[in-house]
Amino acid sequence: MKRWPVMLWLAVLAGCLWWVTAQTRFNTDMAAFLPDSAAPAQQLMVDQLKDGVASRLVLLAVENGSTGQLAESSKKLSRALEASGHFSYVRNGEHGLTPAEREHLMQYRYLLSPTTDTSRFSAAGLEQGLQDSLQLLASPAGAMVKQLLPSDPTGAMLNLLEDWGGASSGPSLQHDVWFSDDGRRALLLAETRAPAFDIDAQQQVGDAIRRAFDESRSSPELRLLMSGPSVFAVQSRNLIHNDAWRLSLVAMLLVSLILLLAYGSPRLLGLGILPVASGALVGIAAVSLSYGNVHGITLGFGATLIGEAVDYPTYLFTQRAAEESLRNTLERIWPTLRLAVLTTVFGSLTMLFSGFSGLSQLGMFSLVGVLAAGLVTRYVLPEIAPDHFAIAHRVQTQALLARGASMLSGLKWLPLLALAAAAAYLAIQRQDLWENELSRLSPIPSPALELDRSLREAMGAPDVRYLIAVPGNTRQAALEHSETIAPQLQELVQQGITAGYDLTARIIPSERTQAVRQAALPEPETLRRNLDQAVAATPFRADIFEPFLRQVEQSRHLPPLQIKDWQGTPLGGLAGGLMVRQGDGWVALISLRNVSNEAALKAFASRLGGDAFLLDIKGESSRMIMQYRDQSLRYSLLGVAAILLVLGIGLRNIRAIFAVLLPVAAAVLATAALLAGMDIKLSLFHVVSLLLVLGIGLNYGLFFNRPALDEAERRRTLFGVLVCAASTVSAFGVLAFSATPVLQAIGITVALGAVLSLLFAAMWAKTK
Amino acid sequence: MTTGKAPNLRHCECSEAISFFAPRRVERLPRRLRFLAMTAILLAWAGTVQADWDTPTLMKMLAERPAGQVRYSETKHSALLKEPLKLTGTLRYKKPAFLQKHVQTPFEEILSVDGERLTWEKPVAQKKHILALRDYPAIRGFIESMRSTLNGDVKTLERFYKLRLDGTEQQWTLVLLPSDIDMAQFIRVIRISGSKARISTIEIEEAGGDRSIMTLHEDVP
Repeated sequence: MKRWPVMLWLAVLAGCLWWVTAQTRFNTDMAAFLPDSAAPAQQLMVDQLKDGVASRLVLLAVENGSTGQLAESSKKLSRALEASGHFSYVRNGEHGLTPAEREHLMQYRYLLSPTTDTSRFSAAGLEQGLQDSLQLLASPAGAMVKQLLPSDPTGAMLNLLEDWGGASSGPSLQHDVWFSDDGRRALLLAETRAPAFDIDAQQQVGDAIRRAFDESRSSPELRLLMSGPSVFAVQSRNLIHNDAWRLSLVAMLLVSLILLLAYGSPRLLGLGILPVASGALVGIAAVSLSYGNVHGITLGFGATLIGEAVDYPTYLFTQRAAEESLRNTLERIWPTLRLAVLTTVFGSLTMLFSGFSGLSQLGMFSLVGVLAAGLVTRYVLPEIAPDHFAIAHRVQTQALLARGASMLSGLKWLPLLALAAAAAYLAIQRQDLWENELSRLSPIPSPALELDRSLREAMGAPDVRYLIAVPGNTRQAALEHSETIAPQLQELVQQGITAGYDLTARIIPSERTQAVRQAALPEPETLRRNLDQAVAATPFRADIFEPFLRQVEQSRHLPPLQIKDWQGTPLGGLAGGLMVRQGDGWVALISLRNVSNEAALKAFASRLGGDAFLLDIKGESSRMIMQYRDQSLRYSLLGVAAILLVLGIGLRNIRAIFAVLLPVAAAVLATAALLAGMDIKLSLFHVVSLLLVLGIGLNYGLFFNRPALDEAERRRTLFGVLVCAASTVSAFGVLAFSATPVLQAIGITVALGAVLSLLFAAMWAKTK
Repeated sequence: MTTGKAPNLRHCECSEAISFFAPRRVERLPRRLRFLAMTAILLAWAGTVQADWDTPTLMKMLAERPAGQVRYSETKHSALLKEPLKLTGTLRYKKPAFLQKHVQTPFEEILSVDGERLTWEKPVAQKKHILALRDYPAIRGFIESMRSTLNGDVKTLERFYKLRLDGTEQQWTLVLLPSDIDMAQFIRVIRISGSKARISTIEIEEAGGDRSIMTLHEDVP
């Protein structure tokens, strides 16, 4: 027994174990499946999806009760949530604006109001303001506005209140809280302090909300509904988490059962698991070392390795002749096994280069894992296996298989036909083969998406799809530029192209704009003279406007309003979210609500000056998915070329290469065609799975076409391949039952592909 | 301002009177309780004798009127103004839920409410606001005092106010006290007076002492 391979193996395992347990961070953020390297627009879009304008918002609704009960529950829940400290703000319609917001609006009204200019504060301008105020005083709203009049005769504050605190900007009110139009749901809106991508924190927030609701509800009938990006993130994490671990466990059990039946020896089963286990451990460590973290889906994909690398010891054990030493068996089958490992390694390279960090992690994991499993099978297993051991030979099963195989070998034309038919079908269907919507890959079930849509509609908080991005070298430059665009947007609103827009500058104008407005405020003596003149022409008493005179003078000396002044308020959240850092500069975002005419908007955007541009988040993400799929298809072709090269070097025989390649090519295309025929839109994940089919199918072909000394060896090979195929199909068949679309896609594709590969390869197996 | 304050005092007495049934007082003063009970019985008896003059009867009479249009003049007293503001215009009302207040002097303004929709128009400035009434509970309460009374809609009126009817069929006063605490911040009491099915004045007393008196003139044919 050579000791050094075993020592090396143990040392590597120990190192990896330490690294994985002590140093590895696991993350479950779906955004990791977006590319890292992207154009500025795409980067901006990815950032927006990760932690953008609305990603921290949680939409809540209470339903199934009388309006009185719902309103009471909404009020109690909102107090409890505010007290929990998890939220920067909670709104349920009770107070249009928070006290802090009212205070800021009041203090900075003349710097915030677009109506502030010199004419407004002239005698004539003030008189106009006073006349308007008089009308208001005599109206049904008079009792409410009269307290404000002595400090705000120009109506600046009232305009701001109308803009920001107007109940008309939110859902309708019943019993002082927001309700959906049908009156069945009381609505609440909250912004979490934790970023949307911090899923552990978001999980705690979700638990806190449910706890607060349970404690505050007056009737067990009441139901709480929750939605929003962070809620989705938690949901999908839990789904993937449960799925990945549960399914991997089931797959592992199934595969163990099959191998136990095949070998009839629990001891060999134990040995057979060593390469896979080592491969998985080394794979996780490699991913962690090269990417800094390991994605949950990468782990879920561990099931791939079970199907793929469990095969290596299976080939070894089933090929062993009676009383042969494993070293001898290995010498016989190593050239074939080596080709099998190398083709899979080259197949995985494609994923590694796909550009999606989540996907390239998978590539790295299976590449390193398969390589490690192959090396362990070759160099470690024979050293640690006992010299003499019994193995079930299953002679009768093998005889049965041989009969079946010789029947199949009469069907050599079938793979050819399948290849041609599948290629033709795919060519005809090529227009609608592909899934281009990122959202379809999300594990969120459609009822949850429907709930989100209806809550957003009721709340008047539609999903942000269109943004105008206005870059600038500094925050102020970006703000100033966005201020010049805003008046043009007003025209779009009037033309009905969009329902409205939000931008930071409405809440925090640029310092320059604030300074211009300050400069328009007259000096105290001038203002007093103008006001006296104006008041004389109205029925107002002359001495009541002292607060106004004092506050205008204060406004002239205020330091400019900053983002930090608004911290922890809904308006501050909106303002901060629409101002993002990018590279060395800043981007001011203008979000557009309910765009009804896409073409007109695009035409408008194309006329925008400077480097401002329109960002279509949905369109951009679809475009990105397409781009990356095309790219990975290109890499796949490179992968196939690499595999061909490996086969050419390994087999050195055109006929043999053809006999190995034809069945697997037919299996891959037929699988794709069958999926398309089942109305399944193909995604990036199907492409990757088909690549795995390619790797597995090549192994079948390689072993079926291995030169055999006698009929007994040929039958052993047949049996070995069948055992491999059975374990692959069961492992991936289990994934097909996953609720996560990604895992499901992989499961169906590989299971189907493995069955077809086995059948087609058997048809082209060497018969003597 | 002394004349302006007199009604205030009167009002305070009213609200005292309304809350005199507070239970703790009754417990402490059993003798007074007996006296009150007797008075209540006497009053109830007097009520049955004196024909059925009560809020539902009045509201039913108002509800039975056809749609109408009246001229009004309004005087608004405010601490902010040197002298009371005098306004004139027309009121139009129609069942079940229409009211239009058209201010004609000293400026023009048209305020129309139909169901949930409030339209606020300033013809000179060519400005028009359309609001959903349920979004502005305080303004709604204000408007219902006129709309629901003119249209005899007792149910809606009772959602916003505690009602009390004083006087006789010939000379009645309907007193509206806001039941909602938010509205009570702005409005102290509204008194509507009239004779039979004709409303003659609507007096609104705001918190803080400002008040307005609206006099409705003979129906315009």
